[in-house]
Amino acid sequence: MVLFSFFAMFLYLALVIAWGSIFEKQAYKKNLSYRTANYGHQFSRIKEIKTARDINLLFLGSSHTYRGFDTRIFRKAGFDAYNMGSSSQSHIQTELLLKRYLDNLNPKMVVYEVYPGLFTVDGIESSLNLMGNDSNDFETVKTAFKLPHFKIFNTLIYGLFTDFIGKNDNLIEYARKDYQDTYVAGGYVQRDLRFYKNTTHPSATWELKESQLQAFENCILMLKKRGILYQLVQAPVTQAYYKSHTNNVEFDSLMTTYGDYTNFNNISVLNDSLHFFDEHHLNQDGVEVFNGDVLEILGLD
Amino acid sequence: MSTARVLFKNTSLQATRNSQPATRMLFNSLDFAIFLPVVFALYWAMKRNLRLQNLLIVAASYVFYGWWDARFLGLILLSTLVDFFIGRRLGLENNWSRRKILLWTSIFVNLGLLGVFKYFNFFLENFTTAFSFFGVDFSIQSLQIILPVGISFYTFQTLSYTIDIYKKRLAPTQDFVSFAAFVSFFPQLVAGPIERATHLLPQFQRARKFQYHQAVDGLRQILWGLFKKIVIADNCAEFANQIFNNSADYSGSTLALGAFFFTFQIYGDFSGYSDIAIGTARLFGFDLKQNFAFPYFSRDIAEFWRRWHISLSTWFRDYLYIPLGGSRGGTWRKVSNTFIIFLVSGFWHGANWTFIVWGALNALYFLPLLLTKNNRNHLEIVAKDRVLPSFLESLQMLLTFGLTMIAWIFFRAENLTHALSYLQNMFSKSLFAIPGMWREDAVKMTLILIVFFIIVEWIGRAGEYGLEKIGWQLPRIVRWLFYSVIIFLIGMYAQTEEMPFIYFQF
Repeated sequence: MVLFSFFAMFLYLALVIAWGSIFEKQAYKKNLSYRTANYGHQFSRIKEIKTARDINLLFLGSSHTYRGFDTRIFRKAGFDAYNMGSSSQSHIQTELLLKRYLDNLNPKMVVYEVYPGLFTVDGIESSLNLMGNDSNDFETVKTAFKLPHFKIFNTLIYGLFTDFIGKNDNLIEYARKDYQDTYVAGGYVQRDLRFYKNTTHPSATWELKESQLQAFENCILMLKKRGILYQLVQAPVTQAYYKSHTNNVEFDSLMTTYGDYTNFNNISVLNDSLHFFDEHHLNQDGVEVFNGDVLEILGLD
Repeated sequence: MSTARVLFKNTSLQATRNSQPATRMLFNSLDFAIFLPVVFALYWAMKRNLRLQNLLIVAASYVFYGWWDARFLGLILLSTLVDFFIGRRLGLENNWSRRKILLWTSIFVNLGLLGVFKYFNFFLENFTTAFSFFGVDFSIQSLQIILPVGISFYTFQTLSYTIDIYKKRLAPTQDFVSFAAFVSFFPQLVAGPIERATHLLPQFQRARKFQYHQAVDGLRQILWGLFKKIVIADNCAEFANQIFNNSADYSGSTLALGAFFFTFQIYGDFSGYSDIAIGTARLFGFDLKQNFAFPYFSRDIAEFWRRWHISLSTWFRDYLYIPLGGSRGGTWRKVSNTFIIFLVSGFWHGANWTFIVWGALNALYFLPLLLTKNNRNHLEIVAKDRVLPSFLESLQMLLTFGLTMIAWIFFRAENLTHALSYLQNMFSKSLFAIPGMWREDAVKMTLILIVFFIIVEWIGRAGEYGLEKIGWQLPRIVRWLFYSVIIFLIGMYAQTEEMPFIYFQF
């Protein structure tokens, strides 16, 4: 039985690598989702982060962050700003990234975007995104065990193999992608100007996951231990979407217990149809209004 | 934990409590993957003490069941107590009228529980509808009843005990722990196979010895069951659900594809569960009866019903069909008994007219065979000792498969209107069009997996389960390769969300 276990394990690893190498289409390798230089420009962002040292300002969060904080605006205001948000990046992945890069980045200040939805997810999609776009280490393995899922383990196996053979070493990601997104130095992604067509949303409540709260607290602790100033912010989403959630007030009061917190849904004067390209993301006009508010309200101007 | 965090958690939980599904210890869950080795290790550590082993089985089974909803443990206990004491009393009583009273008490209690929890609202709604048809309006509130998982299975199992004692086919047991273990044995508690006391109870009363080959065989069957459930059933479910839930939007050929996927979903799901149950029981030294014998290789409906859900079919045969007179008597008696069996079997599956029509349709399929005395033509497995079936056998299997596929539409549909409109749209001109495939590659991949599944089942069709022949006959290295590939397929094609077994709802 022991011998068979080793045999099966070895064959499993070999088959995962073979499947990842042979099949292009996702349907044929259902639980192996290794995507490099894909949607969201995470590959370019990580590449840039790896070389940055002793910066002024670091943005953390999800797509609300990398599509919401335009590094050009903050650099123009005198900050050496970097954006470390990625698609659906939950706190479990933020914790992983901080462990990897915080000491080198050594930011003077962190703006941590706390969209409530990221407390409600399991973090699988974001983990897969990181495995495909960053090199995998012991921390990735540890995170994989926090999210026991076939997709995570298979992708990790293939990711480790890819790192080992150096498949992505010379990969170049284009700054312009999908005919609509442009990567901007510092990690921001600008979407071509589009406007959102408003729709209604059913009433919902935020149901936070214990594991995400725990990871969030670990992130805060890491910042505190290093004496890094941080501001918790909630970037704006469309008012229709925001108001469809019934426990925003409770969420706000929870966040204030972790530090200085500003919910820009209650501050920035934005129009759902004019300043967003979808219910979650500001268009460039919206980003300019929002970033102006951030500079002013957080006293960065 | 901060006060704000506690407060948030409380309000958030409060708001969602009603929508949260109960935690379930499914065979394909992490909970069970931890539970099983723990119980296994404790069980064999107690191998010198039979009573302690049985006590552990009772305790483990109650934990297993209580994981769903501890409130319903009382029902199993009630059923166990009632049948244990009635059984003992039946063993002492020689007066036939008193014996009859005891038997009917057991039937009344067991079927009463089933009636209240499973059928009360169905009867209420149908009576209300029937009376309103004649202009009499009732406004009786239906009850908010949760169906206790597996109630249809364990009530039938305990009923067989008292009926067998009444018929003097079995002597009552004096050992309450063994009896409680027989009623609640966790591998088959929630979805069968429905075991007979004559077969399973004596196994609790004699010492079990750990046998390596039996345990390995058990693991092999569990592996095949997991493949059937996680890879075949759950992947088919994704497309079957999509097509059945939006049936008005699809062409006839896509609807046929939906019925095809459901046909494999229900088989993979239920026979997969049975394989895991039987394999798990083997790990503990028990032998449970085969519940599925490759039903989709049947050459007619009669053969299909000898191979599908065998433990239920034989239960109805022995405790309903034969007492009703079976096939003795005139043609009318035969026909009516056949209809009764199929209708009751349909109704057993659920309190919905769709299940009753599903049963009736199968009775209609069966009738020509019965009337022409061709219902026992195919007792052996198809193409025995041959590699491939003959052309005629292939046609017969395809026809039988097609008929069952049509019947499954009633089984899966939300209601009769849905089933009929599904059939109407399916048998339209667009039946011959190319199916409107969304996620075409995922559909193709699932079809490839189904073909692999059919090939393995075909190779193993003379055995108790698909992998058995491969397990015994091939050289070790090929065997290991094969098992490893199956483990890989589970890891690569498992459905992302945990899906409960269909038959738990019955």
